[in-house]
Amino acid sequence: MSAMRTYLISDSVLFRKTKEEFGGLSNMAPGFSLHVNEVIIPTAEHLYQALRFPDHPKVQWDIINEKSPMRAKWIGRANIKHTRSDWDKIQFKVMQWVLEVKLSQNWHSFSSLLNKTSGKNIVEVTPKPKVWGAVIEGNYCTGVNALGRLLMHMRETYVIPNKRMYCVSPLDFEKFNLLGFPIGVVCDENDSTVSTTPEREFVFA
Amino acid sequence: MKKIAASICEIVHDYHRGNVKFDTDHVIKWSKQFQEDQQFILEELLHLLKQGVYISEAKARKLLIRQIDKLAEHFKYKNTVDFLKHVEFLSMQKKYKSQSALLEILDEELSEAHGIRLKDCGSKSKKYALYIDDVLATGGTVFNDCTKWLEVKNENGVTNYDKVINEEKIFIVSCFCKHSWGCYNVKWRLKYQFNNDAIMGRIKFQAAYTIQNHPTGDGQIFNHAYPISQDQSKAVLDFIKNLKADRDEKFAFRNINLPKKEEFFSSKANRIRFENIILNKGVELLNGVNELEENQRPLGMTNPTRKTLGTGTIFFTWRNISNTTPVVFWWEVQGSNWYPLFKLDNRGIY
Repeated sequence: MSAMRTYLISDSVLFRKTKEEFGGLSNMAPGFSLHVNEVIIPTAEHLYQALRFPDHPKVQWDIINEKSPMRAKWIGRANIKHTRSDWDKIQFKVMQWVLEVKLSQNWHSFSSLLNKTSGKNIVEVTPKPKVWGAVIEGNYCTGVNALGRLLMHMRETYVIPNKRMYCVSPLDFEKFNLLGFPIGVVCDENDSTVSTTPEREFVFA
Repeated sequence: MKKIAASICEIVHDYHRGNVKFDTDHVIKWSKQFQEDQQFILEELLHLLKQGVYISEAKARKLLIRQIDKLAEHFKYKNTVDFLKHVEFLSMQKKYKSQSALLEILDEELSEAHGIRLKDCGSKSKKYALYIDDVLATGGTVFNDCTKWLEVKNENGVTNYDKVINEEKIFIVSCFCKHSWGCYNVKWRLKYQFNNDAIMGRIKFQAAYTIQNHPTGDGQIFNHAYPISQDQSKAVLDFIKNLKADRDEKFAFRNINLPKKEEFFSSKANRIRFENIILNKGVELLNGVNELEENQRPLGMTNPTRKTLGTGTIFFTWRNISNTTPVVFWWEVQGSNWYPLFKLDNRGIY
């Protein structure tokens, strides 16, 4: 796992709750729905949770059809024993892919939000040390901040240079499935094939 | 055989076009084209028709009123007339399409049942915009008309879209038959059109009958024609291969384990047999045409970008056979000897 990071709060955009100014950066934020395998998925959190269970389409369906992202997460937890065996190794890559889909399919709203963070660190504040975020310690935030780092990568790779992705290529894993079907190239409604994700550079190898 | 054909005619009793009567001779003439499968096709078609997939004019009249009454109840009005005083009926389709005919009928039925004419509806407000149609299949027509309506501005520059988002107006699509996948398409395309997730939750769909055709949906009953990939003929596989479309090939065939329980066809085996017969015959018919339209498929038209075999709608009305139904039901083109079960006034128009 990647090293811890320490961020000066005054140099950072912090987000905790979805209703805050930068709440849209949260995976649980409404208003950034996704569309994979012909299904509308309410939030990035729903999609991330569902991808733990490629052998259990029914669990995936229950997660996707749960309105609340928090409850979708709970469904994931309740089915933790069905998690794909290599999940610990691939979860960061899966999250990166989910965020690429979120950005591609919500380009206007999500890229403008990421643009507003320009020049700042992005940090998801968590009350306890967790790999996805960082905790506040005085004037600093400390933690792995995996989500924030992925978001900064998206910002620098796609948003700042204004490289809009119309299509996102799938991850090269076995059983990268949703609802019984393999996930192929995921395109937005404009369905242009000219601009897929370039050679993907993973933030967390 | 005549008995089965007669039973089919009893259900489809008011589908007549020009000098072609929908009688037993007509049905038998159509079914003969399936050669050794003739009897089976008739038996299975009768089984399907018995499940209410044909809407006669009399039934349509009842359904139209029932659906309006249900909406009044849903939106908690004391009675239907109170509700109708806040309803604007949209007339957006061309005159020869189903919508105009349905509105004409509705006008007569509302007058009879509730003593109110269409022209008097919406007299208090136009809070509810009601878009009536017979079949929502791929959702393309509804999306286009809904978008057109949402973009309309009033004299103050406020669009219907603004009013819908602010919940001052509600757009309702009310039809006899909707396809679950088509509804998804409408919602997702609207999100893109308006760059706003919220619009997806603001459009309401009402239907007397739902075709559960979403390929990935859990528990979908697949009450449409959706063949499996096993044992398909070379002609079918070549048809798919040669399509210019490149999206969603993975959805071309049904997962053999679905639906979990057969509730539409007379048995799992009969479903496979029926689907394969109409698929192969459909491919044969389309292969007889020099150049196909991009959305043309053996099991009925679909979105042209989909590398699939067609929508497979099994639903018919006395005045319209959707072009999303398998072509064996309605195919009639110059140079083809195929005799359609449902003769159309004009496929290009309907």
